[in-house]
Amino acid sequence: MDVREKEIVLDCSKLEYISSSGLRIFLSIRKEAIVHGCKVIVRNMNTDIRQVFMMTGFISLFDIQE
Amino acid sequence: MTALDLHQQMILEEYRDSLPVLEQLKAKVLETLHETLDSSGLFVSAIEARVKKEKSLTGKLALKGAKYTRLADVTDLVGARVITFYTDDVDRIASIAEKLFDIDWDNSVDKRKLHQLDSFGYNSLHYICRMPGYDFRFELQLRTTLQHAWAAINHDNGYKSDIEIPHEYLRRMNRLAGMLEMADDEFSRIRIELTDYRRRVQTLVKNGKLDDVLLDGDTFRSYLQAGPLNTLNRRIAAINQAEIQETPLDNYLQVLKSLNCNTLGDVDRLIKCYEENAYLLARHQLGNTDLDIISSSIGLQNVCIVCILSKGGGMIGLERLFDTLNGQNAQNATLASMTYEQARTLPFMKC
Repeated sequence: MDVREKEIVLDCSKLEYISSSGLRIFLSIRKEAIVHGCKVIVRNMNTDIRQVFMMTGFISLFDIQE
Repeated sequence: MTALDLHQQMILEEYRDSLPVLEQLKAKVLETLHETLDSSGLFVSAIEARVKKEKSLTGKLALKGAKYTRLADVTDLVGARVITFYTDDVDRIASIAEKLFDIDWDNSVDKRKLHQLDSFGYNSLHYICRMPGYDFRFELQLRTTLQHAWAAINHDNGYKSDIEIPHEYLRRMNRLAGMLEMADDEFSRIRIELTDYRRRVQTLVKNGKLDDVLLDGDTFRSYLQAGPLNTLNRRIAAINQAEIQETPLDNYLQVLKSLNCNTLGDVDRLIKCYEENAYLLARHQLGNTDLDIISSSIGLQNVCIVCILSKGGGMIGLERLFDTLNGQNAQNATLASMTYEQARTLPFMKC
């Protein structure tokens, strides 16, 4: 069994705005990652997008890094 | 090279010819065990199987060759092993095996029952089984992970029989076996007591005796099963006709404890006390957006935010909340500041 931790890094440095469709994409990636034993890391998320994640309650689902 | 007589060589030749069938039997046994244990909901540490190697069979024939008139007399050509976490699961799986396979009772051994009052050692249940449709029998070993660890280490001692083993080594290994047997029993007892505890908690939650239940991971999950946040979440979802995505709330346990919730009664009162303002905060935040998907954690998240702000926790309190929920992060301060600004005009902030 491969026990190395696999990570999917989503770089949001060029993401200025996020809609519900965008949130659904993030959730789909997370769901698929869990099935394959991967961890999702979100990097460089601007404050507006972070606030959308907070207002909808999804912020604690992701490992959000600077 | 071990010298075999003509008869033993014929058995060895029969073994070589039978290898494809033995491999097939091994695969079938593994498949049957996996399928049955999966569907029975029994979680085990490992299920493994092997076909006896030629070298091992040669050694066996040289040692006990006269005992075997034909290859099928060797009962462990295929060996399967189920390693369980708990001792009582050994008996459960034994009972399943009795239904799955024909057990050759004359050759099966429950080594756990062979122990003398003053001896410890290799504990394992060995069944000699026959899979319908196959001439060859196979050996099924059932043991716990601790029994397995002990047996594997003991097997690796470099000695071929008990007679050769130095007395001091044997004494110390037996001492360990006794200790592991006690540990196995204790693990089983803990599991039984935990199951009882969860059942008691579920009954107390069901009967509404929430003040009698201390807040911990288990009790919190039992409480959430009753859906105490469903109404609030549905009201928040209705703001934008949003879809509610189910998400775990485990990370709120620490938050609730920091808000002085010691029992489920405290949690219930906290939700009831702040749910209206939690809804107002959500309406204020989401009302002018088109976000039509929310997490099922939104209700509890807003209850915690409103509780902190109502008690004068301010931005520092919110930052601590986000640090607990999201992990420490420099942007949590910005998030706390933005949330504080959004909530500043709401009625509960003016009290």
